[in-house]
This record gives sequence, C-alpha cells and structure tokens, in this order.
Amino acid sequence: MKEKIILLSTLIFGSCDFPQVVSNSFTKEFCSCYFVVGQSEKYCYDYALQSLQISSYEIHRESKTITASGYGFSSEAKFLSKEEGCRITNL
Amino acid sequence: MKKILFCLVLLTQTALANFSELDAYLFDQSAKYQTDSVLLWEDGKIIYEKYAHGFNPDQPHLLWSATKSVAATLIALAIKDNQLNLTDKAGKFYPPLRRAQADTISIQHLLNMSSGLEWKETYENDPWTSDVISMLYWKGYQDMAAYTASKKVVHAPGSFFYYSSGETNLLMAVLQGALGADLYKRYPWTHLFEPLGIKSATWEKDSTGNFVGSSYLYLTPRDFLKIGQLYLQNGAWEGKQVLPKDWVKFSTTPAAAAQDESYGAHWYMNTILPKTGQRPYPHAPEDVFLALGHHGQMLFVMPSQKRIFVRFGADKKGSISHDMIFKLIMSGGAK
Repeated sequence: MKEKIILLSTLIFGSCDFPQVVSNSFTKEFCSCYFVVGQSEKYCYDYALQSLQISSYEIHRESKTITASGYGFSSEAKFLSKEEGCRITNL
Repeated sequence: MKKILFCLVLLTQTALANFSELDAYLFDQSAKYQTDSVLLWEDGKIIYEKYAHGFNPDQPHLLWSATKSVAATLIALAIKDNQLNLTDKAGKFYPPLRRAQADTISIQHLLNMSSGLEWKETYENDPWTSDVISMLYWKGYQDMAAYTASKKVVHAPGSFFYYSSGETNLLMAVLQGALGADLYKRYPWTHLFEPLGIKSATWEKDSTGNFVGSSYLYLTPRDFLKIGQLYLQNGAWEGKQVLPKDWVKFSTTPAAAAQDESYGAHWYMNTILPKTGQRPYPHAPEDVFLALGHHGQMLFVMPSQKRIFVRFGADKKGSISHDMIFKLIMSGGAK
C-alpha cells in the first residue's frame, strides 16, 4: 500500500524518471556497505533497501560493481578504491 | 591476537559492570533501533566498547550527516593554512555563486546553515520533493555543489537558518576552489587523518571529484573518537595546535539565525533554544556538543566530564533517544 501511495505521488508530483532513485540509491548504498564497510550480503541488502523494492540485483565481485533494476530502470555503482569508496556509474 | 581478544572481553565486562543500563538500552532486542557499535572514552581511556551485527573494531561505519562536522574541520584546517577566511564570499572560490543575491553568501553563512538558498531536507518519509534524495541519487548525484548552487536565494544570506546537506557540499566545492584540485584530492588524509593516526577513512566523492561532505565519510568508532578528542582538546593534537585556536568555540556558538535548533558551525549543541527556553537534551551537560547523522550515528563530546561517546547504528525502523543516552552515560561509571 505504501509503495502504491509513493508511486502515485511520484507520478503526480515528480518527473517520469524519478523512480530511478530507487535503483540508484540501492546500488550506491549496497556497494558501499559491501565493499567499503565489508558487511555481509544479507546485512547490505536490508540496509540498502529503502521503502520501495527493487526487482533484481547482482554483485560483480571481480569488477567490484553492483547492478540493480526496479520500476523499469537499471543502475550501477562501482567501488573505486579504499579512499574513494563507491560512486554511481550509470551510463 | 590472544591479548587483543582478552582485552576486548575485559572491556565488555567493564561495560556490563559500570554501564549495564546504558548497554541494555543501546542493545535492547525489542527496540526498533539497531546499535552496530558503541564506545565511551573517559580522560584517556576507553571504558566501554561493544560491537554487534557482524561489526568488529576494524570495520568502518558510514557517518551519514555526522560527516558534516568533519567536513567543517577541513575548512578549519584551510583557515589555519591561510587558504581562506570565514568572511570570504563563497563565490570567490566557487564561480556558480557569483550571481545576484548569491554573491553575498559567505563561508560562515554556509557553516552556520544560513545561506538562504532554497532547500528541503527530508528523507524516506517524503522522497519525491526531498532535495537530499535528489542531490544524492537523482538530479544532483554527479555534481552536488552545482545542484545546490542552482537553487533560488529565498532569504537574505545570514538571516535565516535551515539545515541543508547541500550547503556542506557547497563548502567542499569552495574548499576545492581555494586549495586547487591537486592539494584538495587527498587533503583530508594529508592534513587531518594522517596527523591524527586515522587509518580507516573512506570519503566518497561525486563525479566532479568533490567530497560528499554532507554524508559519505566512513570511520571506525575508534577513529571517529579521535575527531572528538581533537575538539575536546580545543583543536590541539600531541601538543600542536592543529585547528585555529578559537575554532572549537566558534563551532559551538549558536548560529545567529538559529531559533529552534541549537546548532553552531556544523555541530549540534545543548544551549537554551530561543523559541522554547529549553535545552534540547535536559539530561546532558550544558557544554556538550554533538555530531549527528541519519539512522542514529552519533558523537558526543562532553568537555566537563572529559568523556566522548561514539555510537553507530542502523535505526531504519525507529529512532533512539539521545537524551536517554545522556541520562544513562551520566548515571553510569565511577562519576
């Protein structure tokens, strides 16, 4: 129900690409939680998820990137270095 | 290794002996908040320390908005190095602010959250009109300072207080302009973290290379403690005055425009609020000052008690009471 209210409000008040916030915030916070903090996948999933669900996500351990999609949008965040941490790197 | 483990066990036992009520409150399994790590330092030693939810002493934790107090410390260091002044206009170092009305915003206005730039600081409860969400994850994530600078000036600079994550990121762009990109790139490490022996730091940047001073610093509790110690020692470290001598006093003096929050230069305090005549934390000492962040990140500096408290959490479902923590800190231990 809460999701429906937020989505409806988004359509009324926001722009059409606002739902990308969901996958952007998830990938960024998951990436930092996993690669910077070094927490478990489960902790990071719960931690990165905000009030809206994502449809899928993937951890790319070799390239140290996280991808996720939700509401028709995809996002990517990449771990750059110990000092610089993660950043959203959508194309 | 065995010695370290023994010390950790010992510390926890000390905690339970002296701070059992504080411990029970912080780690209450039935509460909606979640404490990941905590430590309490008193006059040179850690007297209570505990980790949960998979965290250990070597793992950094996100500070969220408690990052702002460290970001302001970078400005202090640059002032000490004569790179800029509080009264300098922000536009001197950051050209997008060289426009009508915005051109009178000073570095002090930004430190005091009084720029007058339009802003809405809400999070998950109001995501679609939130400037923080938009800055971090939507329209502004590539260049957070530009996102903030594009806002209308809706109050005369210096005349109106409104807590804004955008203002801290503007400060970081100002700092980059003052120092130059090369010096700026590792400035937190060369001028703050390395001198203090802080080794756990990660500080994320946006796509322009600007530090996300509003939100994205990661430190271990023991390293965050060192920031508190630096302020407790009035900006001195190992006998050397690292911050300008009057910086801590300035940081903890209420912003002139703040009426309903006890807020200085990127630090919260416990001064009497002009609007209500009350202190924000009735159980806390009057001279305490705090760095606070989303989801329950906290650093309390308690000069009169010579105590520093660090707590990291993930309070997504409910908030913890800062005043209750103060009450339990004040009633625990030998003092």
